[in-house]
Amino acid sequence: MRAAEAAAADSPARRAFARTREDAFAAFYGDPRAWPGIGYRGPPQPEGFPDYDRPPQGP
Amino acid sequence: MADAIADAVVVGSGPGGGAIAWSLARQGAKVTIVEAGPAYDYTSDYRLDRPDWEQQLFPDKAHQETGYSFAELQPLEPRWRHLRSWNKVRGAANATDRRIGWAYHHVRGVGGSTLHYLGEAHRLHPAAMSLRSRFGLGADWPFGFDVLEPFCDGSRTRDRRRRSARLGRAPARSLPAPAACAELCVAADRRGLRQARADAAGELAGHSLRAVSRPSELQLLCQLHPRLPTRGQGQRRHHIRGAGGRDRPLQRGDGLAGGVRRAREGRSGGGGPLRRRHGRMADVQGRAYVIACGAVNTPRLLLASTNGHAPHGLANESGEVGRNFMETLFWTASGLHPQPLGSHRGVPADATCWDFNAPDAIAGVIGGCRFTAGAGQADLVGPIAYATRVVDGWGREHRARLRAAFGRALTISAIGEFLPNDRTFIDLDPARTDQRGLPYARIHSFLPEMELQRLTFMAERARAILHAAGVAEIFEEFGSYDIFNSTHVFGTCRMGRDPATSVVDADGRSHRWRNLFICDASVFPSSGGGEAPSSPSPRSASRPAPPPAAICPGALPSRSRRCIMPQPPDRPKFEFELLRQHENAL
Repeated sequence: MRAAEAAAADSPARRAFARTREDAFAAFYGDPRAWPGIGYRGPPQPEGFPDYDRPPQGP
Repeated sequence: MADAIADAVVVGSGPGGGAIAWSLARQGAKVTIVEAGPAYDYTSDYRLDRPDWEQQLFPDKAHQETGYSFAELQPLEPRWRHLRSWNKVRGAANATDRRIGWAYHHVRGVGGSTLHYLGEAHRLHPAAMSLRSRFGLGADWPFGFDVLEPFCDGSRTRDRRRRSARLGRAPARSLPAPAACAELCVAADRRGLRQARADAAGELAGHSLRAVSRPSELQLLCQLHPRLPTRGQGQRRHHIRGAGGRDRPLQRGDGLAGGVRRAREGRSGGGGPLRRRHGRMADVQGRAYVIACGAVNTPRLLLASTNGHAPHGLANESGEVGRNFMETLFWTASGLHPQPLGSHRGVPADATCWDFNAPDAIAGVIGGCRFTAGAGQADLVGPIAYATRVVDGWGREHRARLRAAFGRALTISAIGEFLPNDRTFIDLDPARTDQRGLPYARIHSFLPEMELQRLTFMAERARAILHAAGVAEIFEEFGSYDIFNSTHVFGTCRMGRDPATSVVDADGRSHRWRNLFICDASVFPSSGGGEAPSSPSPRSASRPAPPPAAICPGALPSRSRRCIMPQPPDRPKFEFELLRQHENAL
């Protein structure tokens, strides 16, 4: 993976890496089980962000 | 049998069409709305409460043809390389040596572009309405800001807004600013942007007041909760539903305006065939017709409507239909703030600087711009965006850095004036037609030197604000120079006093076809300092639109009606022939 990421920008390896990365992260972080690990509390609706005018509290 | 004759047939139900339909219906007119797209239900169609919300863009219910194409755009030059779009992770957004057409963001549906709601609100700069007389560029509006202003908010806030306009301010906000805006406002102050700093201090209002304002009859209600970044449907909830109330006769619209196929002089009340569900044909008849399809599709419809009486397109006697196209000149820059801000929360377009939206506010350039917090425009409001655009790498290291970065993105977005030029216009694409046989609109766009100088100012100032806020490194910039990407477009059916140089008069009424009106941003002679709304907004629809008295004969004595709706040979009426696609339940 690291080699592919470090490959030239227009190389097949780099393109494959970039596309794989986009798809993988979309699948991974589109799942609620991945959210607590990065401090994300969930979709914007239906509750919204009642604390939007205050600094975030913890992760 | 023909349907009942409507007082007005409104083509398009967006912020222009929906608002004028509401305005007319309130005064007793029978209104038919014709809309190309489906109706949306915010309780079931929007997905902002679902795990995959970030992967779902606008919830198009079915594949819809865009109806537009791009002509070849300009080559890119090394001297403007500082205006290229890029992302730290993804690289160049346009790796070619020519500007590319990405999108004209036009929403089809009952409610139009109000279905896609980011909380932006725009204000025309009064001086930008007289660019020709002041600076010899562009065109003047046929009336001044003082005429438009009373229609902006209704009488309840009129006095307050007038006072605010005089002061260059907006009224006091009703809700506090998102926490992330504080950093930007302080940074803006360091850069001498007084307005934004004042927003943070609560002395003045950011434009977010209007994004999250308390709903009223004239103001849109933000969907469900005023603090949400949301893709709303304010227009439908307010104006169209309001127009359809029991005491406000609304003939429910159906269909897709496939084109004005005939325009015949000297006839009234004729009505053309409208294809209904299951292929049945019926008539849509109106005493007046209002086109409100936006600055790309309105000229498309008119230019495609040719016959012996209108050989160059309906209302195109001057040859001005499609010309004077003005696109969105924009720039966004994003970086990571050193402290957690929770910047994915709250109304995404909050805190605005209007210090540079006067036409002469930028040295060496005519035409202004404004800056705003732009996390919403940049779509940096969810974990997938952060994972793919903010943090590079892979694996555990990526996840650890993502955790550290989440909620710290700051974005400055700038929108600038766009002056008309001869190489930027809309015509019909000779090579493409939609499924109904209507030619595509073809977008021609060219950014001349002054636009690129203005864009340079916008880019440099946006970078400076971010750095002043404590952002050490910008990870993404995106702008108009190498990518056409417009939402707010204007000018292609310019209004003016002279029929030789404009399409409609100051009331949005065709100079020749006296029961034809245009009620969208295509009538705008200028883009208002980068602050023009994308249409005569719900607040201002009453002005660059049919004067209700001209369309509501029931509201006038019969003598007045005859005076207002004459039919001399040189001022003919016309008929619609419309094709429908969907039966919309309004």
